[in-house]
Amino acid sequence: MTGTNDSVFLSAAIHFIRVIRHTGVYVGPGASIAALRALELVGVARREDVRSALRACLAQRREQHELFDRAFDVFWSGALRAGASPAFDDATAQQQAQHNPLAPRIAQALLREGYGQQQRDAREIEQKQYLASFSADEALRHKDFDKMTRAELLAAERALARLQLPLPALQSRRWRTRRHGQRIDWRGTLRACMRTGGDAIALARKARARRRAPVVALCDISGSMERYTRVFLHFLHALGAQGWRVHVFLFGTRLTNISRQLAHRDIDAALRDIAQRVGDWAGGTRIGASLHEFNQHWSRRVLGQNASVLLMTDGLDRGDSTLLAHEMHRLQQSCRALLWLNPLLRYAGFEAKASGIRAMLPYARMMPVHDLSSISQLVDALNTGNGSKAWK
Amino acid sequence: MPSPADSPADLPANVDATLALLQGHDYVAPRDLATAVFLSLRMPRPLFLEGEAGVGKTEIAKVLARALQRRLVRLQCYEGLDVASAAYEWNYQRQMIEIRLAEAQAGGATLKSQDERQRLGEGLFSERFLLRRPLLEAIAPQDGVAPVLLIDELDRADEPFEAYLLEVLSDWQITIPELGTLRAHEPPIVVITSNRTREIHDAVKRRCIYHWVDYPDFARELEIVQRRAPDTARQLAQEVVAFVQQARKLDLFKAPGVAETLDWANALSALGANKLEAEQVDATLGVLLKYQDDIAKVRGATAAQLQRVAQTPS
Repeated sequence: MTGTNDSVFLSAAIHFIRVIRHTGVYVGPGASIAALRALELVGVARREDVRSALRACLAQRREQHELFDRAFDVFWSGALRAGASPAFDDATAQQQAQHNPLAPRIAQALLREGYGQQQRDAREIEQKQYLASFSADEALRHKDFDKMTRAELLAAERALARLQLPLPALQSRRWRTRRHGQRIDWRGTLRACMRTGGDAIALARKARARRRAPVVALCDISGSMERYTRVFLHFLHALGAQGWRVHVFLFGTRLTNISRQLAHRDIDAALRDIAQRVGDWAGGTRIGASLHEFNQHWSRRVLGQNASVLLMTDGLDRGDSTLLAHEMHRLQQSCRALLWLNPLLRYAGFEAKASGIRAMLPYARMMPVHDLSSISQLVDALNTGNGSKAWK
Repeated sequence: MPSPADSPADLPANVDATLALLQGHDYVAPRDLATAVFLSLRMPRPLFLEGEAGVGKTEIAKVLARALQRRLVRLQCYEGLDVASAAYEWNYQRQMIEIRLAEAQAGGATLKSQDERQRLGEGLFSERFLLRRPLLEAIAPQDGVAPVLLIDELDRADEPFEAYLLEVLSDWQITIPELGTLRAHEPPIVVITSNRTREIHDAVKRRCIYHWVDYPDFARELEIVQRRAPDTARQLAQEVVAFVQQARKLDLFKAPGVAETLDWANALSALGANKLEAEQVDATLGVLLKYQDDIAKVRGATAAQLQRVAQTPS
């Protein structure tokens, strides 16, 4: 690399890395250095080489690739030819947003990095927002998901993604070497013997390993629930990224397993994909029939290993309440814990009047989930050891 | 069951031969299953069988062992199954005794020289002290004949064990850190079964021939009953199979498998039945259906209706 062109390119590359970071992908300093070094090695003659090199260093998870590719296309569209900063403005952003669900995040990231016509304004606004965000976070905690603006919803999703689900790890049947384990690890002991030739036999020990049980989420996507479920899916996606085994099913009038889509793709792209695939998004709901389908075809496949079930629905079912009660009973019998997340609980005077709710209530512990603080409550409830007993 | 012969029978040459081979040992297989078996024997790759409980997945391995005159090595999976119970373990008690003996030989003194320690170490971790578990037995059989390895209900084991299986299934080798890598001269015939209580990882399935074992149709199930429960009266066998075929169409939590059909036919024969009687059907439903909800649903009117359907000559 020589001359001014290179330094322009280099600074553009550094900007690009920062943009990627702002979209929410974690890029450490090590990865940035590796990316620049990779660019040196592959050269800049071929656009696709540059893309592959940067992607290999910056986006190291499959679900980040879509976001990366999109950002790459947007960022480098004008940058190299003009030999200057890439052009980007709000009009393009809006245009992009209509075609791709990832665009808003990339647009925000670019704006934050100073690209765009009103960059200075944007920066000032952002600073104000930043200062205000501490109190805003507090306000967000008690705002109903249903009444949030898009920006607030985004903030809530980000906060959710940070939430940890500290379900207690269960004791597994597998053994691990532990210094103060309750059993003697004969293999470790004998191997240690080799070193001393049998002089002194120091006992190695082992104990039962602990392991997290899977989480199965059944989410209602009828009209009244759609907003909550969308937010909740972000939470489940974050769980998956933390290494939990998560199975997710959506139901309205039918049951759809979306575990794979959710696990392998960027959450926004996955949600759009799912919305297209699942026909009854924001339609009616038949809870009893959907639970029946789950019990019949899936419960044995996904509830095998001590799984807990999170059932996300408002319980407003027009179907047969005897069937619903029956299926709830069967579901409760097949899982370790059944937790019902109900956004209707936000109303102080909530009473179980609807027949569906009355049918379901005896079999599950109901938790409010209408705002961030109640999701924190949910997490606490899952965390407490007595939770599993109280649920049944 | 014949004892493992010195020279195992030849593998079948084509799908028809496979079909005949299984048939010859009272396993009535549909053609697609015979094709899967044939391919897994020839390629050779593990045969991965999934299906509801009681459709005859495990039985295939047993029949193959019998038909090909090989030993059946069975590994029943469960949560926490580890290398020590699946592949090999060192015989620690004997190793401890060996150490004591070495000390005694050295005249009560501890083993001081580097040489002595080396020799003891090599002695301790030799095949003499190795306990052979099913996987090792299948890879390196003591009689030299590759056996049929049945890995039963793999879904009950946990993911770490699946990961361990990958090396065994793709390279037919087991690595023992103290001893080195043992490789199979001739790969064993492997049958893996799963009841789908969880999804098996794609990486395992990729190495196998996959087959979903379904419930048999009327004609095949009747043949199975006649072969496997030969004491059943002809009319009873027909009605039992027709009843079960109808019951599978009901919305039951657990539809009866072929194993239950056989049990039921045997149960009814034991009661001296020659044909289905409403009273006996109600009394013996517990042999066929294993959930109280299902029994309650079928008992009485539904059973009578099924029986009528079963008894109409087709």
